[in-house]
Amino acid sequence: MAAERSLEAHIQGLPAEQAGLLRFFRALRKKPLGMGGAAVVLIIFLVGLTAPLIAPYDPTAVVMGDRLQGPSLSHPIGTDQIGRDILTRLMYGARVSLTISLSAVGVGATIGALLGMLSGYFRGRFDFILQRVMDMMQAFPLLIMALTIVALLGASTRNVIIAIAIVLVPSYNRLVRGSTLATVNYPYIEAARSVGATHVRILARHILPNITAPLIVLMTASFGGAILVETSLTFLGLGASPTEPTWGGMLSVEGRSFWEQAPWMAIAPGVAISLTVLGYNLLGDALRDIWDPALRGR
Amino acid sequence: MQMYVAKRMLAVAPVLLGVSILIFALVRIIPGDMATILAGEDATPELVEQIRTELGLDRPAIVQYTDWMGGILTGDFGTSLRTGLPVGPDIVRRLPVTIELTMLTMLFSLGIGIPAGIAAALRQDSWLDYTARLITVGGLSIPDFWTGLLLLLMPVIWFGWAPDLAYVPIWDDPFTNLQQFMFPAFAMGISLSSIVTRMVRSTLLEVLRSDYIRTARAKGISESRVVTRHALKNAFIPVMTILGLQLGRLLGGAVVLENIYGLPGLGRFAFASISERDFLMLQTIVLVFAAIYAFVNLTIDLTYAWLDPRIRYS
Repeated sequence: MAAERSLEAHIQGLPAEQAGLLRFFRALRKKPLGMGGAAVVLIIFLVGLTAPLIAPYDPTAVVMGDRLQGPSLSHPIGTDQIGRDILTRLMYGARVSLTISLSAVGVGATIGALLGMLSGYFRGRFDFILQRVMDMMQAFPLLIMALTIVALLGASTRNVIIAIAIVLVPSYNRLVRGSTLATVNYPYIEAARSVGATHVRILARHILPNITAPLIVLMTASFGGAILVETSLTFLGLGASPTEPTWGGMLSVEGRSFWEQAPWMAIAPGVAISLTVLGYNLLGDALRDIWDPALRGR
Repeated sequence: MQMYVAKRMLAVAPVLLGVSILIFALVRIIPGDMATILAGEDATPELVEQIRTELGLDRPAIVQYTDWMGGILTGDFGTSLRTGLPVGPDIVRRLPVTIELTMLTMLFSLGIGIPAGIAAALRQDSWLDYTARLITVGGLSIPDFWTGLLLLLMPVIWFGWAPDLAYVPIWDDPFTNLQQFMFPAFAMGISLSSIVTRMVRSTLLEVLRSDYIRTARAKGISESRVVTRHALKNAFIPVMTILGLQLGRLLGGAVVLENIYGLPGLGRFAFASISERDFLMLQTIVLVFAAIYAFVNLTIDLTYAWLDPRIRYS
């Protein structure tokens, strides 16, 4: 109770926009599913970060004597067709999927948000042309667009990040443009302008703080989808190199003929992907409920 | 209505034109030169030059573009680099496979999603609603290619049975054909039925709170009649829109699942053109995908303009 009060006092001491965001995240505590999702995501992050320290084996160490072993004390999820420890490979795979989803959403959201703010703030011809380009980008099925971009740039982790970032841009641009259009007519923006604030200052200090909540909601919701696209691409052989331990790669062709003997090889990576995406989705749903209770359960 | 149809149809043309320019530009900003990539690593400069001339890549971009679009508009979709055969007939042959796969997925998703969404909305905040919400979040989190793989693997382990993977057209043998399409359609349908359930639930909840529903209830109409006769009709419009937009997800999913199940559809064709690095063919196939996507969504727009007069007069 005392902690509760002091936190509230702390929040009240903060500038308005920061206090709003803190309250936003505090409301999450009343959402058990959202908290559960956050916990799952946190655990997977920790596992990914500390993989080199906590993983029991070397992810690429081939031990032919241990091939296709079932789950046991020494190999909790068994081994694959060339004796690599599956748990270890899952831990390292988390690094790839998390890095890609974080960077892709980060880059895509930044570019999309920046374009959206400029578009909604300055309007005019720039806005018109940009929005038509966005229409065209959205006329492509998302995965096909990402697939084409990676195919053209060449299969690599960096290019998967670029492809996912590009396909994410239009939705951020839409959202932020809409929020900016709604904000730009408020009297306090006019007040800021009349005291001589520059465009950059108005955008950064007065408009940005007002669009962070929906932006965070959309970003949380994007992570899960980004991981699904990433693993699909890697599964098709269009991601990180096949030697690198990745969740999508563990499900691709090489090991498939051994699955009948060793079903854990097929099950474990899919569970890892699903759990991570589920964590993100639960967190995203909860944050959206807080931001706009009218959307609950959508 | 005619005015509306004409207006909407005219609006699709510039989008498709833009899309074709975008994809054309995309294919040409590959780092490295297309002729060099196609010629292989240890090709002589003469061979690279020869390939460049053969494919017409030495011409100005505007000439290449008008040539490509002119061909497509007159039914010439180019030739495959590997086989040397025209691409057009191949697209026509493969189209029904992808259409069947996406249609089955949609049917499955509507069959599950509509009743589940209605039930969840009518019993809002009950255990049934919570279960539906939990299952749908789960359904959105499972990668479709993984479900597809498991559905192929599990019957083999449990029953020693696998569907016949040599594609059989539906008009030759519907039973075998459905065995082949059932599993990939189910795999893709898990996420789509979750989306449909959530959408039906939330729009129905919104509609049930509107004034005209209160009026209907005040007149003393039974609750089941209020739902079936008054609420559902309006709740389905946003669901149709979402379904049209989700077709994009299905077409992407088709690339992956047609590959796993060896179905000779457009998705597998697109993937083949990527593996063969036949970027000119890929350019055409991606345009076909975008065109299908645009026309299905146009059809949906027109359908509910026809169903809902408010849309065509606004």
